[in-house]
Amino acid sequence: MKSFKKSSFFLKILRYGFTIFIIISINFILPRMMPGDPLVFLFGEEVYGAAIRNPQLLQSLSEKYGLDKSLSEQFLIYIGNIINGDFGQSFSFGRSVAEIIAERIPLTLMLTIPSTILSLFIGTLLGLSLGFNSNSHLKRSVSSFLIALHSIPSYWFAMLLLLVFSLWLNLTPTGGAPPKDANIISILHHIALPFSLLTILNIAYISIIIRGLTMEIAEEPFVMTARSKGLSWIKLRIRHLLLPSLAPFLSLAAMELGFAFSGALLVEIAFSWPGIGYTMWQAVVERDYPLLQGAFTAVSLIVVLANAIADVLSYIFDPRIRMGENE
Amino acid sequence: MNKMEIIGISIISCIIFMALLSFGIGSIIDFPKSKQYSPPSIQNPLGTDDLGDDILELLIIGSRTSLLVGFLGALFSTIIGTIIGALSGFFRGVLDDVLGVIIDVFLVIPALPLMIVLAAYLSPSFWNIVIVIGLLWWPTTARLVRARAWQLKSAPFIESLLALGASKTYIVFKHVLPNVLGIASARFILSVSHAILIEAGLSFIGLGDPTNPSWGTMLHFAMTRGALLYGAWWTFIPPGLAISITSLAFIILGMGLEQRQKLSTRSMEDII
Amino acid sequence: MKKIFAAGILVVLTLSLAAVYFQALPITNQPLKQNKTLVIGTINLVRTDNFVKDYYMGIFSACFILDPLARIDASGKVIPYLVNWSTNDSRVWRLNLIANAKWHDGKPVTAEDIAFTIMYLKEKDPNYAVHFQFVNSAVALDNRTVEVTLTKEWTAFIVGLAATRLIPKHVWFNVTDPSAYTGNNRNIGCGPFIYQGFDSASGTMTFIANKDYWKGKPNVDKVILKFYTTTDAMLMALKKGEIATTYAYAKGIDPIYVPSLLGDKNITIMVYPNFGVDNSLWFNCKRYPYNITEFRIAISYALDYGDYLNYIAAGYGEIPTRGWIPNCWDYYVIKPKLSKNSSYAEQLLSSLGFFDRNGDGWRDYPNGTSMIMKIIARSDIAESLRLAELVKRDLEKIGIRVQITPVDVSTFQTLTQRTKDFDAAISRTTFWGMMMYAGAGTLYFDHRNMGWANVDDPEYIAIVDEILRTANQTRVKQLYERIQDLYAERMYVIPLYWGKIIQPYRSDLVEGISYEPMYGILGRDTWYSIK
Repeated sequence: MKSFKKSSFFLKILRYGFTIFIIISINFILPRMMPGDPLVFLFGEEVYGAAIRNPQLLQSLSEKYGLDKSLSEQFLIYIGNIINGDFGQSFSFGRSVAEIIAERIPLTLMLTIPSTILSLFIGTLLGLSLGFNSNSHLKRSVSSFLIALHSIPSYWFAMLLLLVFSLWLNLTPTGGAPPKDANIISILHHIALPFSLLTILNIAYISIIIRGLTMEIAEEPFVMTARSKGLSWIKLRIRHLLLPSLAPFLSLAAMELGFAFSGALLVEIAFSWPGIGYTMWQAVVERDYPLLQGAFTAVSLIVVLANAIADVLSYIFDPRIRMGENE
Repeated sequence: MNKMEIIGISIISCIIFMALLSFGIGSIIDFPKSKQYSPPSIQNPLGTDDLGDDILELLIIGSRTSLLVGFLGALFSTIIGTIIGALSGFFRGVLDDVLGVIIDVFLVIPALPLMIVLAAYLSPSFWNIVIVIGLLWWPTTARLVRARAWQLKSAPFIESLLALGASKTYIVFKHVLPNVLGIASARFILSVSHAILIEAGLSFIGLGDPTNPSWGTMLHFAMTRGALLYGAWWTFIPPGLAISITSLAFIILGMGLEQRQKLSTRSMEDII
Repeated sequence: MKKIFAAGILVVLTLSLAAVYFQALPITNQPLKQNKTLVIGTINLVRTDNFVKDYYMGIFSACFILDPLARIDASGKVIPYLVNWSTNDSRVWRLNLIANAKWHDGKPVTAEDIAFTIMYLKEKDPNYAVHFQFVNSAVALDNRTVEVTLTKEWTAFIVGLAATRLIPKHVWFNVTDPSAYTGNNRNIGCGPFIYQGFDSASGTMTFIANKDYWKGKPNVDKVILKFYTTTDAMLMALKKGEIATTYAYAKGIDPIYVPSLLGDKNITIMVYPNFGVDNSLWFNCKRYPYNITEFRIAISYALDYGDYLNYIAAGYGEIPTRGWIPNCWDYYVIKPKLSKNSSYAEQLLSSLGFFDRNGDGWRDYPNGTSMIMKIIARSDIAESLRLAELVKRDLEKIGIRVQITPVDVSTFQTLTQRTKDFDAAISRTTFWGMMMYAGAGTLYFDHRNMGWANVDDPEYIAIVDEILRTANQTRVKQLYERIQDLYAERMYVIPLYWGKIIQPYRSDLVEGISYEPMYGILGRDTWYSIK
């Protein structure tokens, strides 16, 4: 027996709102929790250095950012700024954080969305195949291989790909994004390695999960019956395996996009692909805290959004959830 | 003991042996310094890096940091996750709701980016990395432990204890925690694998502790000091392999332990 | 059946990957010589094309768009460029506009622009607040003459002229915050190139040759700067012929990359003297025990300079002398070369009372408390951290416990320049830094200025003050020689190695590159010697 409260779909969505609130709060608390004056993190050491020698400037900066107010008032100002899309100024770029993020997000999407679609397609087929009659020798070794693939650090894999394809075979550039006015060949040229790597890693992840789901369903009696009736394997898969798992599949798809988004982080760094992950790294190197927080907020929001979409899709496609019978 | 556990344990033993060996460097074994980026030779079986240091020596020294961060980070995160999970799963009402929401929230927030943010604020040091991993890698453990605690709550012996009027806190610490230890230990082993990967990732992007070089640090300097263009593959293939193999060994062992706990195959999802 | 299915998936996977790779075959570049476009790669990233706000935009605008008032020749002397100068008392200076320069929008350059630039930059740009710190007023007497009055005698004023990037008064006169100015005319100058645009996403910046430049049109029609985030990527592009040469301000490429370029027959590597000191160990000379001269000297005997040269500079450089000043300067005096003598270092330290008092294997302070030397190094410069690691090993060999603290650039500046909260630091100096203030690196030493070394030695301060007010060049040279005696005797700073500037280029794409100490290959001469 589950209480209505727990199974409520809308409460779940409300939780995402709460998650976003937590993320924003973390960003607010971190610079203030660290030893030292939060101004250092808010303005960068340089402006701060000028400020500590100039009490007047310090005062005006404090007023501007409401640091002379109580913490709760500061928090409201902070939330207000974020709602207005104001994430502050990046020290190292000298531009607004929101502007930089808006410029970089499309590059990450360019990498993650096609990669997610392709890897969902291949990963699902592979996972279905591996999960069914999973005791065959070949399938077990393929599964082990996929798990091994998953314990390889992505950035190291990236270095190997660069060594082989860029340095030895001289087929691809050593990293970076194509220029703005690049033609399709040049874009493919630049995106080939990061795209392939991300796709391979995502395929490994998806197929392992789909394999697990399939193994569960394959053990259910109706599948056994269908098998004994001599239904062809492809029909069986589609009718009895794929259709019932459509809801988990769709939610997996949406969650996978979120996963790919944060997983692309290290891949972007290794290939100098100037998306959001690379931006985070740049911010780390220069200790550009406003930019770091902005990039983190952006990544988190997209992941949360993907999760929320996953829940909505499950809600629409899976009547059991709508009836509140899940859990 | 099943086959997976045997494979996992034997690889892990080798790595632990390597880490112990690192204390003997300079006394028992010695690795000669050579020219920078010398390829593998008899003198330096895995070649040298940009400082002419022997890669095998660095690999052995690095195993110590990587393993230690892995163990400690995993230990912290497992303790946090187990306690939160057990409390949340066993108590009904407000505590469960609050803890449940917290678990859900932290499951959704992408951990790696948050760790990068946290590590950038803290100065790079061994303990800070352990703390970052410990603080942020517990939600999956908490969720699994919570599910198990839920099951336990309706177990006959717990119900009879409750009927006898035993305090809930007493039951949690005396009976629930020991019963979730199996799953917690499986999670611990899997978390070691993750913690090693995370430490390597943080070190790779330059947030590692420079005074305690790890395998990730080796990759960082290979990446930033031109090993790639030099074609000095021996500087980055061994540490990457070491990270992969070690993390794989812990995954295999953890999966073996989970099977023992008769968890459903779906927990594969949580493994990764 | 199942096997076929699995095999099918593998085939699809392979084919889709292969398709991506084969479509992506490298595009062959047109020879740069034919269309007179020069493509230069750099890792000096420009974030925004405002030269007041963005450090590297400032450098590139000085190389291409804006003309300096004076120049520095190959030997490091300040020579006239847009103006020449005269003074009787080193306090009142007359600048004469000697070039018939025109702004890119066609208006003539006048003495008004010069007077405006000096006063405007002094007020608005923190860098010029240093260059023009003693400037009281700058007034245009007529179209070609400016009179600058200083608050005190100051011979190094002309050094500031070489750093001055002349800006048009008609663009800037009512701009109150230049670092926030976004007007379309913000990159108008009177230099050899006209600014065309910046594409920050793909990282390219374009300049077109100025046909009406007062020294004549440059030999190239167009220069494209390509920004790279890693040296690896930049040098790969060089190997592939996507760029003709590389640029880094006051720096060449990291020497560790040289061996990977040597095999390429189209790539030529030029080696130039480095007027800056490539990496020194800086002591905080006001903090105990680093304020003890003998202590610093002891440390100078503990270091293995050959290692630094081999592993950090890849052999491209020299073991420095105790005089710190590199041997390419005309006032250089021969001093003994630094060398390792561990037993002497240990003996010296022990005689000063720094020996192991609690039996833990590490040297302690004479009062018995344990000693840790904290060295800060820039976390964004890999060589710097690696060098710190080698220094640490050398010091640990003589029993000094060392802790390396990696810090980002702004923290480095705060610690070394403002709070002075550090024991020792590792950093290089630039040619320009060596020239500034009283020259001979005084900027980096004197505690009253930037003063990383935090030197308040009265003898040193007296020399700096005398240089600052001396106009007689022979006397200045004598003082520079004296200052090197102090560097050698007192070891405020230990030079770790003298590096070289390593400049690669593709001889099939460009030839005739010139070099100057200040802006390297992007000095004015290159535009007329290049082929």
